[in-house]
Amino acid sequence: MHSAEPEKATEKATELMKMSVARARLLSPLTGTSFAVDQTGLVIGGGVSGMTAALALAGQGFKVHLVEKSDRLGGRALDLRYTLEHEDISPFVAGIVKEAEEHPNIIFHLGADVTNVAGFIGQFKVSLFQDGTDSEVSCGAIIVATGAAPAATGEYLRGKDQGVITQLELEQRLQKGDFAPGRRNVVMIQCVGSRNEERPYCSRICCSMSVKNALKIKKLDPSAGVYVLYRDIRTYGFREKYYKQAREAGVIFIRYEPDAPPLVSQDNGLVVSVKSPDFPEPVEIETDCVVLSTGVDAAGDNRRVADMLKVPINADGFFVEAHLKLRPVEFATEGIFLCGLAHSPKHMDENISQARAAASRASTVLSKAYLEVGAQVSQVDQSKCISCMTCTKVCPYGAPTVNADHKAEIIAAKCMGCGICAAECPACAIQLNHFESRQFKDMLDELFRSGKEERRPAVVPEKSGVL
Amino acid sequence: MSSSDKETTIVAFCCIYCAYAAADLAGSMRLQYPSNVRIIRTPCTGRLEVEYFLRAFENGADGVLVAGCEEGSCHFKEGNLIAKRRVNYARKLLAESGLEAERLKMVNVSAAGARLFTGHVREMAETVQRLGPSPLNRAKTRVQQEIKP
Ligand code: SF4
Ligand code: SF4
Ligand code: SF4
Repeated sequence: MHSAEPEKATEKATELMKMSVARARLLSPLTGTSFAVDQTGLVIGGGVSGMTAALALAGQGFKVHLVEKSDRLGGRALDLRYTLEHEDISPFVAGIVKEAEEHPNIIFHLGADVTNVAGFIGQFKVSLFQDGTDSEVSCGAIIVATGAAPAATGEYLRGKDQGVITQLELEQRLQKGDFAPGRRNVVMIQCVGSRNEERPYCSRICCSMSVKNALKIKKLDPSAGVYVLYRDIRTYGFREKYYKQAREAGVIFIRYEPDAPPLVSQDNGLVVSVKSPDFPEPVEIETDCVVLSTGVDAAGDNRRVADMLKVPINADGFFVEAHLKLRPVEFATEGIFLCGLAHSPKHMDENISQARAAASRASTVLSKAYLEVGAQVSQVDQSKCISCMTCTKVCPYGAPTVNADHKAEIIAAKCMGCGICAAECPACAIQLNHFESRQFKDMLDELFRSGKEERRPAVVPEKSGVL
Repeated sequence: MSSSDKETTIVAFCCIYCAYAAADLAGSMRLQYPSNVRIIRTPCTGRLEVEYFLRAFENGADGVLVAGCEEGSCHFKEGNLIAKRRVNYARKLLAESGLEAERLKMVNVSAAGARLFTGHVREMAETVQRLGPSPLNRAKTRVQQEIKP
């Protein structure tokens, strides 16, 4: 972050450290209450990722609710026919659908929408709306696998000329056998609707998809001309070798630049012209088939799901994990996990690994009969309480109540630990465990303590417990 | 040392559920931003008392950022709105005591808003540069000198 200023970066790190030490001096052990965990999982989304996650949990003996919006399992994988590595994936997809359907631990909710989520890790209450009726299920952990959607486009005469199709359509035709070889030229255009202002991200799957389809065409008819117009070829990971194969098979890759995208005209049959930085002259290709590598769109429903779960989505509408590296399949909100296309565009094998990872993280919650929480809650020092009732008014969860002595008391099981009451109490009678006022103040003092000032004396912990 | 050479410090109170995660993400993304910011983690911006903001200034901070979730998506429903109210109040107190209210600012950043977060820090750094160091900025003995043997 501060790579240009190493000394300042060290100084920052040292000061942050000093502040943390100042705070650590004042920390006291937290003792929470334990509560029973509902050892049932809930997966939102019945695509390959959702089913994989559900199966992974079910296989460990947990009951799992699988909620799917449509009335069919399989998700986006139902549109795919083959992958770079595998000739025909429909038996695989049908296989996991069957395995899931037959699994005694999976409870299906097809054609169901999640309408509300209440509760917290270990004890969620999820409302469903299915066939015109509302119902509620409880679970201890939630996995979000809501998937994504293929991006639509109107560019490059899409919708105006029959010859302009998408990679997905090409793939389906190739598999059905109604893509006659002997066509003169097939022109593929990459990054359609991706890596632009509207969708700044790379959709990740489209380069591999065009390499896959190009190889397929070349296999059907080696004399067919296949041209791929690209910005950068991003055949992620080991898929690079298929890119090499495609080049060897005679697929022609032509680079274009974003400010000079290819032009498709239909005046004298379909003609694609492109100005490549690698050629002195513009290239014109006569064709009867233009294939657009359209990208991946976040599922339109993500915003609603995100608001319900109180988890973040990014500007592109995909869910965001708690930490890119340290907590890659979970949200900051405990007990909620994520996997699959809901998180970002990726290949099926990557989705499957991620789904298993999410299930394995979720099982760390579900495998416990009891969880200890509620340690980071607020407590009232009743000798200071002036019975003003402010805390009962400001708490978003109704945790503070008034006892028989007219003093405030906070119900630990209801307190979520935000600290709003602690900051608001006019008598400073409330402290939030682990985030006490004196800890904040000492951090602020330590940050600005000049080196000449005396070091602080060691603290003797005030009574055991808090306050 | 002329006053403009003085080292300045920005304190950023960041909510664990959003801005703190965004700052973390900014690190993972290797985004460059002013190095004079010192982040303090808070469970919710609603935890922050007006006193902390004032204490930061009293001790010599030149700018203070309070970074909470986007309005409407606070993890604790409305902690960020309560924080906004307190920040506005503290700004009045600052102005009354002769400090520029702009030195204290509430911003809203989602957990994915790494760029937004670094943007806010940069903006505050610019504000501080424009206003100059706070009159309460006591020349700190920089840690660097302190850690030198
Ligand atoms: S995978 Fe290829 S075609 Fe798709 S957005 Fe990325 S670079 Fe463009
Ligand atoms: S806000 Fe403080 S003083 Fe007022 S009732 Fe609650 S604990 Fe007591
Ligand atoms: S810390 Fe938050 S949830 Fe707990 S009692 Fe106070 S206001 Fe309510």
